Amino acid sequence: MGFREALDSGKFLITAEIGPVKGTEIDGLLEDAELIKGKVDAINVTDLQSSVMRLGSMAVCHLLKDRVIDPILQMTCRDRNRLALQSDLLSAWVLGIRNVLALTGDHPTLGDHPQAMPVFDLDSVSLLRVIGRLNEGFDMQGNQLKGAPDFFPGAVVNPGADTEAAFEMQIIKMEKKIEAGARFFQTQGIFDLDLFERFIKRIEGFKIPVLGGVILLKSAGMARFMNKNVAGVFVPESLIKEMEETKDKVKTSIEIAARLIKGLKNLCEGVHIMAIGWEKRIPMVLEEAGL
Amino acid sequence: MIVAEIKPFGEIKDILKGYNKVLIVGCGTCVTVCMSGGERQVELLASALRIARKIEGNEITVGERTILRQCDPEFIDQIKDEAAQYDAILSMACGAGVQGITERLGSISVLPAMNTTFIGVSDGQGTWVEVCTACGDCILYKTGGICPVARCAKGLINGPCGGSQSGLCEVSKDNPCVWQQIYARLVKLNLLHSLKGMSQPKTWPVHPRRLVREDLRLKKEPTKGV
Amino acid sequence: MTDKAIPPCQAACPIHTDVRGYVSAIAKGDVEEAIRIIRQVNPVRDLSLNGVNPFPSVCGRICTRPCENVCRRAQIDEPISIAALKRFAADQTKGLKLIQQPEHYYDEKVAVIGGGPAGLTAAHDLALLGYSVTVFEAQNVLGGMLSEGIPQYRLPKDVVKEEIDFILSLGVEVKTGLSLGRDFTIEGLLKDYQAVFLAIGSQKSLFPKCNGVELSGIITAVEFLKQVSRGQRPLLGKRVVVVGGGHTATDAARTSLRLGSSEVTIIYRRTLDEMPAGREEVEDAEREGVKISYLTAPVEFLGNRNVQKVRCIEMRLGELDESGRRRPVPIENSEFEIDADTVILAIGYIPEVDALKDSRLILSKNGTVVVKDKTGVTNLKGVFGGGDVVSGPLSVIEAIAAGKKAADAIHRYFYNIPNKEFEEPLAFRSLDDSVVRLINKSIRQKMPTLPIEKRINSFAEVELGYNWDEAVREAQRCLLCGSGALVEENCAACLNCVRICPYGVPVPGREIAEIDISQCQACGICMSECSASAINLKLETKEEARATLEKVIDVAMRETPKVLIIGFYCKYKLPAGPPDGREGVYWLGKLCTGRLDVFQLIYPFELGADGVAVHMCKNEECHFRDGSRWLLTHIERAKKILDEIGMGANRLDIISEEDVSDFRKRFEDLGINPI
Repeated sequence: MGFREALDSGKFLITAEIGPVKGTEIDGLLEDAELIKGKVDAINVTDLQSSVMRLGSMAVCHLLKDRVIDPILQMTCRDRNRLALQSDLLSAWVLGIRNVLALTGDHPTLGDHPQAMPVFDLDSVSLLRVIGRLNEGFDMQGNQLKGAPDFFPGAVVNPGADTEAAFEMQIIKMEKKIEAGARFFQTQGIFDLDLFERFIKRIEGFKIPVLGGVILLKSAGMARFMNKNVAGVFVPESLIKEMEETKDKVKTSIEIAARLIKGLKNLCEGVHIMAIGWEKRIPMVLEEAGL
Repeated sequence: MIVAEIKPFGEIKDILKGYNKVLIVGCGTCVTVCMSGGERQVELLASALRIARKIEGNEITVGERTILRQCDPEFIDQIKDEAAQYDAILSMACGAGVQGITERLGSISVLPAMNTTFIGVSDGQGTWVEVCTACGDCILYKTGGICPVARCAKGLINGPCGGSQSGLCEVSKDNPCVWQQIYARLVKLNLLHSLKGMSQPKTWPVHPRRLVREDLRLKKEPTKGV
Repeated sequence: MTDKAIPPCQAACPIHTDVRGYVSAIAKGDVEEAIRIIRQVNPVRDLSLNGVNPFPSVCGRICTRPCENVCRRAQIDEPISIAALKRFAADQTKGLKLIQQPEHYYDEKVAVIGGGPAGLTAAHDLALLGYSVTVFEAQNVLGGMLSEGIPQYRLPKDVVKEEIDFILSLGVEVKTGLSLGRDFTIEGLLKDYQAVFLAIGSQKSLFPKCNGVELSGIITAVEFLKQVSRGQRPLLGKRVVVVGGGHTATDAARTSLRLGSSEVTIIYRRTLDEMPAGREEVEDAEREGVKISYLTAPVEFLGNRNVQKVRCIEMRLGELDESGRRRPVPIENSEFEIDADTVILAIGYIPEVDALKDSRLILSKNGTVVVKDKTGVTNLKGVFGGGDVVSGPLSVIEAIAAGKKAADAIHRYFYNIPNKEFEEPLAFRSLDDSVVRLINKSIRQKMPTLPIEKRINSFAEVELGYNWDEAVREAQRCLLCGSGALVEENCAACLNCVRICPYGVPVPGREIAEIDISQCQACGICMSECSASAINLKLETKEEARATLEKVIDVAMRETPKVLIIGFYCKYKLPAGPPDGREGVYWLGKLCTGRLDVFQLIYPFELGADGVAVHMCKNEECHFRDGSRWLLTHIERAKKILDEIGMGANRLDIISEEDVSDFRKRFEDLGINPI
């Protein structure tokens, strides 16, 4: 059962995320994927995450497909203009990729090639619209395609936006993304379920499946770093303390993630697990969460 | 106004290598206003160059002139005769000014002393900010008069990327997230609804652009019978 | 409007002396420039002799100072001691020969009747214009009231003499001891002279209409002061009553004290506020022991043969009279008596009408000569009148002004030059409160005076004059009204001046920035930062600053020092001159170094300097506001440039008071070799 079918079935969705390496050694990556295969409904493959030049998302998605894992192709607007984006989408389709997550993308200055020209010819909203048009058999100029894809498009939202204006703009943009064709949302990592519940209440009317983001906490230091540097991530002091005081960081990390997943189960349609190097531990998390 | 800044002195010195008689031409409009290429800077750069070349034992003759605008040929003509006595012109204008002189005074090297940075406005003494990219397709009516094309690091026209923290841009903490400014402004104006609906991807301009206003030009032939 | 305006002091001065000019020269320590501005014809500034004052030492001592009354510094603390500075300039330049010669010599001869300030000033100006002038003086000495009316403790004789000698040195002929009406007539003079200036003053005393005024022991102040000035010592007795409220009254009272009278009382029918002698003069008199009985008028002088008592009546101030003062009204049944051995009358003066009665001049009912206009034209062709004989008794500076106007009018009369439009000059408006608030307070320098005990036994001059330090500091209090920033047409309206002015004066105009010169404090910070180089400071233009720098370096180069260092310092901070450790350093003083722009810090190197030193003030010491901070900004920028051009930032250095002495060594230690 693919991701789209899983979603349609109404089951509690589980996706995980893996990041391609900088280089051509893909054994570790595929090993991780094999480990979580069958336990998740799809695996997101990031697109030059943090603007660091690395192996592309499309190739890895294709390899996952070969291993009968349903991939979600993450596609950012940072590096390609509308010609390249459309062309890559068609390429992805013929390589068997069915799910696309449209994102804006980080700015190149944050990565390892800060001199690069930022493209952002389209934004995430217009990219979703383009995907829709391709599905209809047309490019964005209205030219007819010879053979059309049928992508299942998704988008992201940051429920933890830290100011009123930022939060409201997230909601406004989310609405636009739905209008542009997004069929599901994956969110930034959630640590405060109360805050998330408020967000969910706010978007109730949108009637759109949301997969709440779950980041595996590796240490108290990591939590603090994210609080300071990662937009929309807020790890409450109680969790930081828990990580600080534990003797078995891995165990506690898994417990926390499982707890969050249990909580999310009552609030949204699924979870999206960002293990950030701890992909091998995803099965344990799921087990602990009773999934 | 066009905001520009003076190139590092070392670079200017390298650019002038091999020239021994140079006329520095300041521009009395934008770059004077942004305090980088007006009469004062011309005087200072001229003196600095003379001293630097004297130290190298390779003296240079530097003339100093400032004209009101280097983007209009009529003003450039004011220095035509004087320029003929020099090996090169070092323009302290924006890129438009440098090329304005190049076009008008064809037979002399025209070299830039400035880096043209952006179209901007003053943001308090000694500070300028970019606010317009001259994209040719203004959407300010939708965004509360605040341009996301110029003022969002990613030029996003359908809302923020979500990377802001405490209202500041993820790219540079010196800049506020323009989308939050737009939001605040529209709330204040009670115009939040103008954000509804998707903004279509922009049609990017083809360079070089040329603006011909036929309505301003003298008709070539009177039409018969009119 | 504003560009025609002049400083209030200059506008208020009857001869429109360039007060700001000479005060700022003193502020810069250039006393010669100061005296030139005061007394020398400046062909560039003014061909008409307007403002030239032949009596600076006199005015510096006894002027009634209309300038100080309008000084805008009073909005902040106290007015500038303008007269004292003029005196300083004159005293310090004694013996300096300021040679002036007329451009042409004319054939016409002018007779001046009366050798007082009005007549002598006319003679001075006419001589400088190129005319032969003869002064006819009834007394044996020239000077009029200056020589015989004002006591020596206020105006020493030699001071007057020196100034008169200067006037005579211009070739003015003098005939003393010849009295109009007795020895010659105006009509007679007109046979030999083509014009006559009548300036015989107003010295005939008025007497109160009281019984007993004919008693012995009742004298007039003018006669009394005249006697004293000639060295006589009239016997006054212990108790002296002076009647009147003008300078002559206080002069007579203070002179009486010096002659040994122990109880000297001035009776005046109004109050201190109305007293023409002025508060300072009254205070000085009181300090010396004079009693003043205000709101008191004599009604009768009592005694047999000799006066013994003055019967007085108390007054109150009633309705305004035609002079704009409240009219004193007697209070019924308030009479009282004051004992008096001598009564000195100083209640008013009219011209010596007897001398004029045979001339065909039209006289007013007060006996003054009626003139047609301010130029002094009388009803007789070729006869001009001026000074107290026309105006009634006024101040010395008014007499000088009348003399100048007459000289000008006579010259015009000879050559049929139409009269200048007498347009009263427009003074800068007062400072806005917003500006006043930002100006640092600085109290007026006290005038050093003779101790009281030394005063009353002698006629030694009471006011001693400023020393250099006091004078320069006082001059530096001057706001230099109107010598601030002018915006030229190449202004790009960048508005940087609007943003950085420490006093908030510049405003954006329609096309360019506008700086209200009446409010500008002339700190020059805007000039040093103007991107278009479109701001110039009247006080010291960019061109002047550059030329001065070039001159100093030129002089220095000729002395071929081993290491040539140019030093800048603030003249406000160091009024006495550059800091120590000046060996090998060629210093340039500025009235605030905040406007020392980056160019001026770099340019010396282009001209061949090896180093530049800047003596830095602490920010809280800045005469203006922000001067030191801007200087620091400019130094930082200049240092960066020096590094970039391969000169080395250490060639430009800040020196403070503590380390000034080994400054040169510091430069040598840095291993600077001449380029």
